[in-house]
Amino acid sequence: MAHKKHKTILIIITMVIVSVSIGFTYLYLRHKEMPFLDKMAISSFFEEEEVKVRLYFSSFDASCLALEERKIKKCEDKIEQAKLMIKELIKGPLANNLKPTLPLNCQIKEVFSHKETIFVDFDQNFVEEHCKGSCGEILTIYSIVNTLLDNLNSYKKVQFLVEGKEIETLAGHIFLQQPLFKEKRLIKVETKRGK
Amino acid sequence: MMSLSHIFTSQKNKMIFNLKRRAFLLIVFLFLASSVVPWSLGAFTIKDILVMDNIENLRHSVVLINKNEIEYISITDFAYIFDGYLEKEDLFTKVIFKERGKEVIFNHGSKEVFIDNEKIFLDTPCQIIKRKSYIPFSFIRERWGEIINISIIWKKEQDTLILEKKKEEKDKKVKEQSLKVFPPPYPRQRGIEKDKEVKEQSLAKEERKKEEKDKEVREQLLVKEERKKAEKDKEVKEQLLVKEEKKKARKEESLIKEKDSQEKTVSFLKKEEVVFDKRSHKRSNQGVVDLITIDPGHGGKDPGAVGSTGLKEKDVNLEVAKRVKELIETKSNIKVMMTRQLDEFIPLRRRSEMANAIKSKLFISIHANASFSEGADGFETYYLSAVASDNTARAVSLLENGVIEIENGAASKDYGYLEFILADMAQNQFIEESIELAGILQEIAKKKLNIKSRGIKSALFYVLKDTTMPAILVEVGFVSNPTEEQRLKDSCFKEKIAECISEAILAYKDKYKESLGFTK
Repeated sequence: MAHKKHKTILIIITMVIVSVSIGFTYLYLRHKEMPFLDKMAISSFFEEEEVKVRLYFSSFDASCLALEERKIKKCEDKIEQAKLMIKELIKGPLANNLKPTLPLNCQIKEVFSHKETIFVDFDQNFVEEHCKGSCGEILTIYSIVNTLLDNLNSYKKVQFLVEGKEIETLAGHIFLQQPLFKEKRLIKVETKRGK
Repeated sequence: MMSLSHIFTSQKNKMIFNLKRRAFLLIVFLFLASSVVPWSLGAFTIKDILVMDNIENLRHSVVLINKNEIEYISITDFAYIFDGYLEKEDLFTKVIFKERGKEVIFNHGSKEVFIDNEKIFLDTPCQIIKRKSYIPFSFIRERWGEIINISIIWKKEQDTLILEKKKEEKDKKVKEQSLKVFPPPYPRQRGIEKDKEVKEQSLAKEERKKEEKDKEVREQLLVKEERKKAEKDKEVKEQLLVKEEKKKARKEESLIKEKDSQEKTVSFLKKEEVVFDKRSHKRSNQGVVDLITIDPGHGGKDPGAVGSTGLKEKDVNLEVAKRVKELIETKSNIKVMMTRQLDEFIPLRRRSEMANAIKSKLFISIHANASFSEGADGFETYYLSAVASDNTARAVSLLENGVIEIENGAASKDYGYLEFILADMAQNQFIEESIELAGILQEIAKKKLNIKSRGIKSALFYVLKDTTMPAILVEVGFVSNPTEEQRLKDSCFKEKIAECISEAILAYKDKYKESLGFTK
């Protein structure tokens, strides 16, 4: 009897240790191998949760970026959330004293991330329908960069792509072949509007 | 009984001991196995590699996946490196290379690849990992180069893939570049002699021949016309001839200069010399402002911003720039080089290269503004952001820690990257001067122009980042604002803007002269 007890206890212990170690190694490797895929988008089927995001639009005189807070659908997946935020930026501001920073016709094709960089891929309209001035270009670029990096803390840089490719510049001024950091100097303090 | 019971207990102990040992071994074995199992079940490691083009100096960073000791690259990255377009289907992915006229079809999970309908076999089948399709990296490393006729070198230690055009193409490219890098000749503005010094000799000779032919034709025509006119014209021609003689003399003088600048252009192609060249450049740049570059923004196929009534930014820029040139050349002895005199497209990179090649002392890029807000108006001046990128910060820390030894050429492996960083820093050295110039200009514009002053600002401008001299970008007004668009159509207003810019340049020159000998 004593043998059998010992045996069963030992077997149980080994099973537990083995399964735990397998589980941990698998999780560890999975996490290590592809951090840029993050988790799968798990959207809740039962109710749509909302989240407050901070969007940056152009001020009326196009001298700086102004904040507008808005509630949008909450996504567990950060990349999906980023996509939704850019869609909100394309829609334009609700406040009358603010101006849009993106062409209305442009579409976001894909958003993905690698390490600390978010890659944002737009369609050709992003370039073609742009107003083409330095001022407009700076505000377009940094409204996206600041909005994404302000709301998603785990990323530090944004790289722009058009039709899946790197572009030298959007409207002939700003160098876009490298990822850009948040630019706080462009943000105007105060003004809270929106829903 | 005693002995029997003793034997029994010792046997029991032995059995327990054996059981313990077995269990321990089992645990160790299972533990080891468990750490190996997930790997064999399809886990993999990733690493970043760098793709460099030796001629155009393009750099991409792509991800390699190592699965079961075989390296894979995603089809998306493959298409991205070689400028292909993707067409995805369920069972295969087609990559179309328009420029090279190639079409490649990869079958998922198969070794078969069709290149322009010709079947070849890969070493290992294509894979789908995490819903993305991957092809074996060995295909690019070993076979793709032959197919598209370029040489692909894989440097394993540095994780770098180097693409090189094959020799014939390379030579052509070098020739093309050496022509392109040089400031373009200005055939339509013969009166402006100073710029001609920059011309290449062969072009100058052709020019002269043409001029002589023109004169012959004109003389023949003149015989038929009235004598008075002919005499007048002859006088003009004589003047022209005198000017040409002067020009020849000047050309001889400038031969040495020209050689210098030619060497400079070559050095853009030979990466190893770039760093040293830039250093010498910095030294030569210390002196009086005697040669400046004016860069009218956009041009040709790129109209820049377009106003609601159709005013194109490129035209405003060119007109203002031409007036600035005229004003400066009449008011002072500063020579002015323009990056374009005509409505033509010049890539941003080449604009700063032109200014660097002739060792210009200032770089002023003239633009007109636009925004999505019609209400935006005013005049603003930009300089390059002081901290341009994380690359710069990293390079500075590496340099400070002595990791990169430029003097010994030890860093020559990484030149594409380093060149970029150093160019970045080169402009950073002139940032104080750039801010000063921007400040002077903005002050003058505020006083002289009846227009809102938006102040001086900084951003990472493509056209400014590689310049090795104080450099600013002027936005003369908003084409997107209807009232300002009307004003920008008015030539008097453009004249005023040009006056502001030229005054600012002269004021900067004077200020620089005063401080010469102390700060420089």
